[in-house]
Amino acid sequence: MTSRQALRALIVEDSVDDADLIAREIRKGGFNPFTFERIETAVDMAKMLESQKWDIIISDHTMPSLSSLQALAILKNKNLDIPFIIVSGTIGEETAVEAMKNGASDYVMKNNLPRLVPAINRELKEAKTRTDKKHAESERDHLFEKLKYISIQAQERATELEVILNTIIDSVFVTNQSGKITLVNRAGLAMLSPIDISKSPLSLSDLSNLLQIRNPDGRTTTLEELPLKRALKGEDHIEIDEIIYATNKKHDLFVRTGAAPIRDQQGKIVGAVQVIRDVTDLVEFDHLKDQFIRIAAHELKTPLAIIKGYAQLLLKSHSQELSAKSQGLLCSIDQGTERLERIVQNLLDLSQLQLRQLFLSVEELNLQKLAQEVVNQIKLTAAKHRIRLTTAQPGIFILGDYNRIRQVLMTLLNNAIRFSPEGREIQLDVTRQSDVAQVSVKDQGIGIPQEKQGGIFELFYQAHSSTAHDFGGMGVELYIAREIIVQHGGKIGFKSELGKGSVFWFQIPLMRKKS
Amino acid sequence: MTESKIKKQILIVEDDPAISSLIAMVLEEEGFKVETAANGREALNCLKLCVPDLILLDMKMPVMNGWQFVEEFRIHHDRLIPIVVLTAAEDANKRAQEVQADAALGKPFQLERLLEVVRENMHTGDKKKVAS
Repeated sequence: MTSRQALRALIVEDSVDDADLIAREIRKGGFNPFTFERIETAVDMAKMLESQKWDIIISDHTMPSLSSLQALAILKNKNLDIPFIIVSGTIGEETAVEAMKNGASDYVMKNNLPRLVPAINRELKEAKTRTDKKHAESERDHLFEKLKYISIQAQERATELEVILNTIIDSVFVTNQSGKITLVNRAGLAMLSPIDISKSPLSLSDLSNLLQIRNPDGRTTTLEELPLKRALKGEDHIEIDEIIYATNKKHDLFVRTGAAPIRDQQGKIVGAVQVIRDVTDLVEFDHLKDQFIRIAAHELKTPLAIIKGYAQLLLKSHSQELSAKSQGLLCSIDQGTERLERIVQNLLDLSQLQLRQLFLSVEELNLQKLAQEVVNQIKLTAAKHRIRLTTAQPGIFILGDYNRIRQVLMTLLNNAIRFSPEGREIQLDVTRQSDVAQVSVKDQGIGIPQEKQGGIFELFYQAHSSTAHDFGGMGVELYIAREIIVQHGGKIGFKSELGKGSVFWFQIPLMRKKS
Repeated sequence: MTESKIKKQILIVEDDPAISSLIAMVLEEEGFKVETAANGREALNCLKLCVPDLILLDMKMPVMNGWQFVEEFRIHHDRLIPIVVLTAAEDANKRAQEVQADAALGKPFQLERLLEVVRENMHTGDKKKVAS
């Protein structure tokens, strides 16, 4: 025998000699290490079975205090699966069969002991097969239980997610890789209703027919530009504002939408999800606000014209009848209305910008001449500042809106005056830089702190608010100036150093020479 | 009296009495003869009795507004009488173009600017179109 396996044998035998004989025979089988215990009573057998594990039981058939059938009963009682071989000199065919029926694995005649080792080997093998099978079964049962648990968990998670999805106010659409819509939450269904999509699944193009998407500028979005389509192509973190024309409801929805690809564990894209938030109310409120500002500012114009007009009339035609003091008071009224007028104009510009209604009436402009006019006018009110205008060429022509460009110049010059100490020079340059006209306003004023420079063109931004240089204002003029320049196809910018001054500039494309 | 011996006549069509009388006072101080009308209908009635050298026209008025007035006016009257539109609209020039007026004056306005526009557009006999 080639087997090198260990063997622990329990030998049930009243004869020490017979037990030795059996042990010697087994040893020939090459089991290593081989150990055995001999017992001959039921009590000992029970004890031995409890105290350690046995690979095999070799039992005599009849002994004074125990029979092989009783031994088998004990084994069965302990619920142990250990091969049980009867070695007997006297066992008859019938008894042997009965013993086998009662759980004996085999029997070997004492006069044929060489048969014992092969029998042991066979029984060990079969026992191992039985154990392996049992192991496999219990493993399978365990896996099955685990699977059942996971499946219940998954079910619960799915229910949870479904409730979450259906409770959120935003619409959620999910598509698979091939562009079939696989999930629409309740809000999404409401967006599509009364069209029932439960019967036939939607494709991406069906969806884009039902919800016709436009960019905020009004251009219709192509199929390739659909957020879900872009997400399927691998674009992450898509976040855009759109206008959706919901065909079923026949009206526009303003939405903010986000989309992202869904990937499997290998990172392969298996679908995409889109979340659509209806912000129509917000947009409409915002619109209403802009309209309110526009109407309110507009209504202020006529009373303003009355106050301003009469004050000016008094100053102009009746100054002889007025004391110097009264004239001074009237001047203050006139200046106050001047400021009010500027505020009203800024509010109107602002609402027009928000409503995208700032229209330019474009004509041929000589920037150099316009700059001179502005300087002349501003000198009337800013007598304490020296304003110097330099131009390289006598005529620099652009296509632009006279009033709007004038407004930008006024803003830049007024700011320069506002934030410069009296007596300091303000330098206005009008130059030509290859194909653009450039206007720059350089002051020797207080400058803008580095950390405040980033937001200078933002709406309602006041770099000097709550400082010693807070001269009030709404923080809208530079914002408006930038919008005007941008609408002229130009650029606006600045450079500033704290304590030294600022240079604000803008560039507008030169007018093409007529040939 | 300004340039000529005969007083130039101006018709102010404006529903706001405060604005109307302000303009009237300013123009009279400058030696113009002034007629006022509170709306387009009154202005048309005025035009039956006089031929002004310039019309200052408010656009938003009750009874008959500026647009309606211009329409009627163009049918029955001398196209050579210049019209200057008075408006609080955001784009005053656009308003002027709408009714083919000669010029526009945005509200609120500087008195100097008012006089400037009036003198620039006054009917001189060989009127040339100013508005594009």
